[in-house]
Amino acid sequence: MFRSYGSVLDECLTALRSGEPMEQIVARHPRHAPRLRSALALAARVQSSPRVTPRALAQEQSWRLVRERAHQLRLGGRRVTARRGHFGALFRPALALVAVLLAVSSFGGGLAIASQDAMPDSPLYSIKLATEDIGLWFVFDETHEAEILLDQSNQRVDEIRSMVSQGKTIPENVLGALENRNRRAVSILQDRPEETGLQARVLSQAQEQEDLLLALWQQVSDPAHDEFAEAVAALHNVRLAGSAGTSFVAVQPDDLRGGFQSISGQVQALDDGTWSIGGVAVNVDDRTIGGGEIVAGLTARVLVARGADGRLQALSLIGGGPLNDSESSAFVNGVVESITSEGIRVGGTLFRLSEATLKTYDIEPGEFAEITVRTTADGFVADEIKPAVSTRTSTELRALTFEGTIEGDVSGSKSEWLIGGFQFGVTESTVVEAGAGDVRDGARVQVEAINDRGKLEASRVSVLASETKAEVVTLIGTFDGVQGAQWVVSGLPVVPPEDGAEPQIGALISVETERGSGGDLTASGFFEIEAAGDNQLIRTLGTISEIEGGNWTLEFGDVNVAASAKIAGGEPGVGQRVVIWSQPGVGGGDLVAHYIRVLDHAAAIESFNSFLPSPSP
Amino acid sequence: MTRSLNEPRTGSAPDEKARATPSAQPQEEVSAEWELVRRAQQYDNEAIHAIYQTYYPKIYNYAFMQMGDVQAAEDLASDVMLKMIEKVQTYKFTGLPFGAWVFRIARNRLIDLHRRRKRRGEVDLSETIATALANPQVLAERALARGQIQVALKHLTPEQRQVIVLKFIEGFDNRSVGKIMGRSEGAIKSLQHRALGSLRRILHADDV
Repeated sequence: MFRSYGSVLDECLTALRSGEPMEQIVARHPRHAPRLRSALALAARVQSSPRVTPRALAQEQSWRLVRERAHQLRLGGRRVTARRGHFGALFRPALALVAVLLAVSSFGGGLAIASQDAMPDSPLYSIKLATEDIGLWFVFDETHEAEILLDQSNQRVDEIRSMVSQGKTIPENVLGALENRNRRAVSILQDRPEETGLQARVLSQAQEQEDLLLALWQQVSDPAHDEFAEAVAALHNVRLAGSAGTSFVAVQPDDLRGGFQSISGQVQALDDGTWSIGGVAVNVDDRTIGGGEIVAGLTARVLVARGADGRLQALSLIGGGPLNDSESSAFVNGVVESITSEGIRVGGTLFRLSEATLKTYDIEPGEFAEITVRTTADGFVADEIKPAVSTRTSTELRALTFEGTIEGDVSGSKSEWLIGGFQFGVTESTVVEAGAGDVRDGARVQVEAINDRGKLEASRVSVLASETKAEVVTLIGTFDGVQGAQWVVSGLPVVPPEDGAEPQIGALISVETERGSGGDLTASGFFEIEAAGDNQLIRTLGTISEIEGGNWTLEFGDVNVAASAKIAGGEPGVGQRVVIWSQPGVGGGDLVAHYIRVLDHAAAIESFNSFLPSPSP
Repeated sequence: MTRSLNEPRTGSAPDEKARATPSAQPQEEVSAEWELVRRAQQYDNEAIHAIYQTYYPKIYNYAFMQMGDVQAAEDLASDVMLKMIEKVQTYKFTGLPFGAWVFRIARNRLIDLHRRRKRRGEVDLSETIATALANPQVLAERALARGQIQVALKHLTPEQRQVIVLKFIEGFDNRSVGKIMGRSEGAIKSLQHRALGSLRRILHADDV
């Protein structure tokens, strides 16, 4: 039967694709052998030619659109604005006209104007965003459009700041809008390398926004966590692209879904290619942005993200040597005496506010607050102000300070640590200071915690350079009274000391205890830091920079340490980290120390606040 | 009539008749892909992401081979992926791989784009480059040797170029290629014959 060459070729191509050797295929058709051999060789060559692969950033940006569209369709929703390239530019005039008609007919001019001050929790906020988009359709210079988008992105940041200063959580719409503006600006500018000014602005803005968002993780509403992870990942990737060009390994939102944590400590290389920082396994790789090198044996500070799988990925690194004071922050907890545009006054000391000061609540005088303090040539600056739980406040939340020994595994993926016989919740907001040694089984630590109706949540864990026995537990809290035969200190049961002495109910005390075989804490004695009824002491955490007789200098000012002040935990010295409970001096004078807890000799000072944007000069 | 999001409007599992239909994909792959598509029809994010990760690079490659322009290929791939998710509930298994349906969208979008460019009087930059070079045979040979198949393909007709990409690079069978291009299987056999012939002539086929 006659078969055309085309039919024979097709059969042979199918055989070739199924893996049959070429000569074997050709041998079946001797009449067409020369032509077949040539055609099959050519087909094989085309088949083996390498594929053209898309740019990772473009693929990622496109995926966001698809996912957004899928989300809308899932909700039975509206259209998504496609990434403007060749298609968008074509329809822009027509869309602009439609947009104007919509703005006039549907919204009404007044509504659009009224929406301009709308905040993300307002029903008018979506109109505000739509009005911004409409305005952009009239901008035909794409570079100028990118500039406007970057301005709008900063407006989103201002809205976020305003929300958190009113004690509100950050909703998903403003995070989505922030990510949207940034993505569109980057998309325009990635093909315009000549716009060096705007390129630099994108990078600096990305860093500022990433730092700010990370500091606000606790203020993000639960439904907005996905948008938050996406916004942070996008900002981080912009920074990575800025330093590595188009070829870089991007951070994925899934790498960030478990929250963020600050860790500092000694570095050790682990067998699986990750690093141990202060005893916590952390992945440090091309996705880590940092101003230092990670070196085994030296100290490093990392801001890590916890992935959906529990693994810790370092986003930022400061490493390569001992951390110095300029990289540290101090913390002041106390009752706010006044708050004005000039600053916030606590313990008789004024802490100046700056444009970058982050207020996570609208604090009023008389309320208890924690201030993160930085020292500048002009005085003390408040980097962050947030509400705090007073040790003395009689509410269901009880603040306490606890010193004990870690028992068992506290690897990065653990969310509960056993310390001194008590389970402490370790969340994404827990700051881990491991400058004095690794966070590991047997390490002595000081824990600042909140007792929330019997559940202990650690806000800061500091490893102590202490030789204290594992059985010894120190507890600093409010004496709640006696229940049965036991004392209750900030909600925790303690067996009273044998000498029969008893503090006043409501007094702030430090209790030295020993843990028995049954887990009971038996007090050997106590020190009354502040009498019942008083609530004047402020609690400060900082590093000693100078000791001159009874006068100590720390980041937040001078402290008068009289002979009557109780010093515990070790011998004080310059460079040491200390927690001081002190009273404001008369007439705004130096703080007067009542009780001092020495933490360690190798100061390693951590907080999220170290990553906050620096205030404007 | 209301419809639950959990009930795809269309689409049914591959039946026996469909399974018997020749396809370039092994049966297990077809079944796995169908399961993925079924979940995507319910807008399951994981399934959509898996499909996206598979097809975005393929469509980008296809678009780049046709247009030779990175930006245009990215735009087209993005556009096709959006269209795919908007239309996925209308997809019905007919024995052809899901990829044939996605590439059909891509081809239609490509045709639309060419029409619009033509109406606007735009010149295809890659064609300009190709024709400006003195010796296309030498250029094509050199390009193919370096793996730059898209440069060699510029000298084929658009239909020949499509059949080469779909058949030899994407690995579709004749039936799928026919479905994508809106041609019969016979026409595809004939097209591939002519396309390989043209490419061979360009490349001094005797030396291949």
